[in-house]
Amino acid sequence: MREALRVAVVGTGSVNGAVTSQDAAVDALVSPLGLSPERSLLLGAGATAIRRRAGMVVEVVPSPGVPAAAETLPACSAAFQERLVQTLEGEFATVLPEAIALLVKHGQRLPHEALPQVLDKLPPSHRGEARPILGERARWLAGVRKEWSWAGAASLESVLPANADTLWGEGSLSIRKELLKVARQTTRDRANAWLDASWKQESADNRFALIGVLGETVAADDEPFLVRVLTDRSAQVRQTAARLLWKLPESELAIRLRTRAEGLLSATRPTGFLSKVKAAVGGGAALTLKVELPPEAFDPTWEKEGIAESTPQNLGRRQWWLAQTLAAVSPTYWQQEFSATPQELLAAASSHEFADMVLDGWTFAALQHDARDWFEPLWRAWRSRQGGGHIVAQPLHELMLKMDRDTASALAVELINAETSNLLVLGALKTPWPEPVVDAVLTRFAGMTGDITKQGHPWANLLPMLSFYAPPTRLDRTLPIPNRSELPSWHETHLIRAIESFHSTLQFRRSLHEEITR
Amino acid sequence: MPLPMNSEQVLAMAPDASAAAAGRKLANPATWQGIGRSEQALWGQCQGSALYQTQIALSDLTTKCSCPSRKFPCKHALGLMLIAAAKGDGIAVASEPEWVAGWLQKRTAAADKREAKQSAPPKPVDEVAQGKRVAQRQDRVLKGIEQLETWLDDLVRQGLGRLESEPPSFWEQQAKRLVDAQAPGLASAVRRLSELPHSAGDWSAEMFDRLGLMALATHAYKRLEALDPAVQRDVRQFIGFNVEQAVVIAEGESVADDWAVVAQSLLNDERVRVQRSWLCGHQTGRVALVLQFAAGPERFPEVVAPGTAFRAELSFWPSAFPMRALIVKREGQASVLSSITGATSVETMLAEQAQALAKQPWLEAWPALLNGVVPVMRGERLYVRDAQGAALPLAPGPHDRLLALSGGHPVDVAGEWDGYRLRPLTAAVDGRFVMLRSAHA
Repeated sequence: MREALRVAVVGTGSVNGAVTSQDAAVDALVSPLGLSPERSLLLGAGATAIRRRAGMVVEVVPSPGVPAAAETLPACSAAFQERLVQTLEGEFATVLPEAIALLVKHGQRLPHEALPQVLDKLPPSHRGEARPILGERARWLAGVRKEWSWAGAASLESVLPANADTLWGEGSLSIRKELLKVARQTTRDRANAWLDASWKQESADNRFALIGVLGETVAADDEPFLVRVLTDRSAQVRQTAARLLWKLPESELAIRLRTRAEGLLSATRPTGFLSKVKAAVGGGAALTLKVELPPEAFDPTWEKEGIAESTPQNLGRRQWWLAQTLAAVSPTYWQQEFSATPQELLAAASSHEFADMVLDGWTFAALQHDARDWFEPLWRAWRSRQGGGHIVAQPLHELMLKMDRDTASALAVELINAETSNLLVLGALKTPWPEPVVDAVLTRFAGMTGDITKQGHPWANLLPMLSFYAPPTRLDRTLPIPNRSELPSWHETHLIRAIESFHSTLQFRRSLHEEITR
Repeated sequence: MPLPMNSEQVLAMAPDASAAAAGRKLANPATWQGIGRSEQALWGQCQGSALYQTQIALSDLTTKCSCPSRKFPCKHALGLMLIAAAKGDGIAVASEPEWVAGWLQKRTAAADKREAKQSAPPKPVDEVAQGKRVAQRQDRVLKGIEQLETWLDDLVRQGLGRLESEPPSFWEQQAKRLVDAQAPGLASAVRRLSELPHSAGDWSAEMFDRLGLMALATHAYKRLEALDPAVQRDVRQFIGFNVEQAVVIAEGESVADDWAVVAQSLLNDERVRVQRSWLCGHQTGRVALVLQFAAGPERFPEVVAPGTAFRAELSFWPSAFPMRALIVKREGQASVLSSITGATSVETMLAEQAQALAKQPWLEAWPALLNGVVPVMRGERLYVRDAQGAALPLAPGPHDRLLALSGGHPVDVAGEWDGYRLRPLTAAVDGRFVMLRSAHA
């Protein structure tokens, strides 16, 4: 610290008050004035300040590190950037994935000045799909701030990092789950070795999480490991392992269960002359299903086969165990066993006193084993019932999720044209929604708006989904906005708002599609 | 190109963040009808709770809307400008409807009247009364200065180290005394000092410098007649003798040029918003600081948009190194800037500043325009470094946008340098001009 400043900080009163010298040039100006020490110090300070500012010696700093690599993609237009920023939060937040997808599809990236805001506000669930549009600059920025470091990491999705073993040993559960997932797809043996080594030390929660990851890629070679897990301390983990073994039809457990199920289910066709005529004409002999319930006493070994003893309220115990046993066996097995179609089997089951349980079990099995021929018939069977099952709580939704697009679309249109309930099942349709579905909803809706107060809001709740999931070819659809009555009811206000919001969302999305091509 | 601005520059015109957000929502062509443009104006009608007529004069971006909002520009005007900024030439050229043509005519008539008033002879002044007022003020100022000098001497006698523990009232009381002494310039200088002890780093050195500069100003004021007339102006300005706009227009140096608005910052004082814009003359190479003030939701008198350039006549406040200016007259339409023309080295910029300091030692902020600098971290602080390695520290950040624009590569930066730190305001890279801070953060 220079002398004059030091004196000023401690005070001239603490120093013996003599005039402090600053530098020769300044002294030459100040001394002749013969002023008090304080005055001299201050005037000298002013003169020195100007001299130092004018004659500032600049710091020289070493060359900066490696700059960002050149971009490979062109930047999107400023207009598009402005829209994308609007999807980071607020009313259009659901459009964010679409905006990102448009950029990816057109091979564009975000302009550099938009990156800080996007890196700060992008929800973590969207980071993976957003990586291509962030460009090389984001990779460089990842080194600038800790919160942005995710933008620099190579995606774990395709390849294991070099330090995978360390990460497996020390990483958080979510990192280990990702590692396991990737390893199971690329170097299965390594993944299995990891599990084998650490299994005994894992907590129950970890074991449950990791076995879930295993389940995504389960195959016959997992049988020995899964059989060991059948003796796990946690009931949840045991049940998961058992049910994974259900998916391996050649496994010992699956074979055991199938044998037991065979004992419970049998089917007959009437063999009289008339039925043979019917069969010849193509009517087909109606199948009759005979269902035996499992024994009264719960065999403890069943628990290790994935069958839970404790029964939900209001259900018969043996019926519940029946449903679970059937859930273990792919319904295609019954097709072969009884030479019957899914439709015939379902028709037979629905007239049985244990229909609910059989349907529940078959639905779970169909979903687990991807029995595609069963999806539509099961869906129709559930539609004519109230509510869902106990093993599969939302069968309509689950089945629709797995169905092929055209079947799902056709069923959705049927639903829309027929009824006013169950519509939220449409949430299971893969986005963007098929055009026929969008058209069906809007047509039905347009017919309703004249009679708002009666219809109420269940349909209004569909509009937001529709506005976000309608395909680009349907973005110009409109709905008439009803006139507001003098004293609008809550239903009316809600509906009108839903329609206005519908239009503004479609307009926003349309401008996205237009601006990407500028 | 009807509107020489991008959407961010439009949003910077909004009086506050909620107007900006509302403007964004109205940038939806579906809510507008009859959008059109002519050589002179841009217009449209917006469906809100009524049908509002909104129009914008392209010469100076003055807006008018039939909505009842008292904010300027209102959300409708902002929305229309955002649409124009996005659509560019996509807006149809049409003949002006009556409500647009009528307004434009009225504006020209009003502008003519204003010019006539300006060139009209000034009202006769009661010289005796004025003489009395001047003498009275002189007396008060001198007394105020005497008291201030005693106060400054006490500070230095007791030591600057004590100042950290002084409450705000310590500074405020002194500032008030100076206001009463009719020396508002000194009063705000004292108020600015109060912020120092709470800032990071070595504030005592900066405090010492500022106290010294203040002492020099009061010392100079006491012997004003012995000084060069131009220096007298600067001393009086520092004390707080403001020169009125009318006098500046009448007597100040007049410079006509194509002026580029290279940087801008907005300060929100308690009741007043202050807009500081730095303009560079293309032919003359002159630099000007244009200050505008607006109370509350009022709009600033002129639209000065960073990243644009326009032909205008500026009048400078008299000074040994004239910098502060006002816009007297504008011509034609604004054009878009795609670059910043500045010094190619830090040394060059500092040398230019030194020349100015030699003439006007109380210079506060210097417009630093630097070409080809790289932002570099040193420890916890960010610097900008030129090709020779010379680096200037930046004011505390965050400087995210600057870093993103640079990516470790050289960029052109315009900002304010106060002798201690650079406050970066705008940057240009790849033919794009970008504001480094959004107006409504």
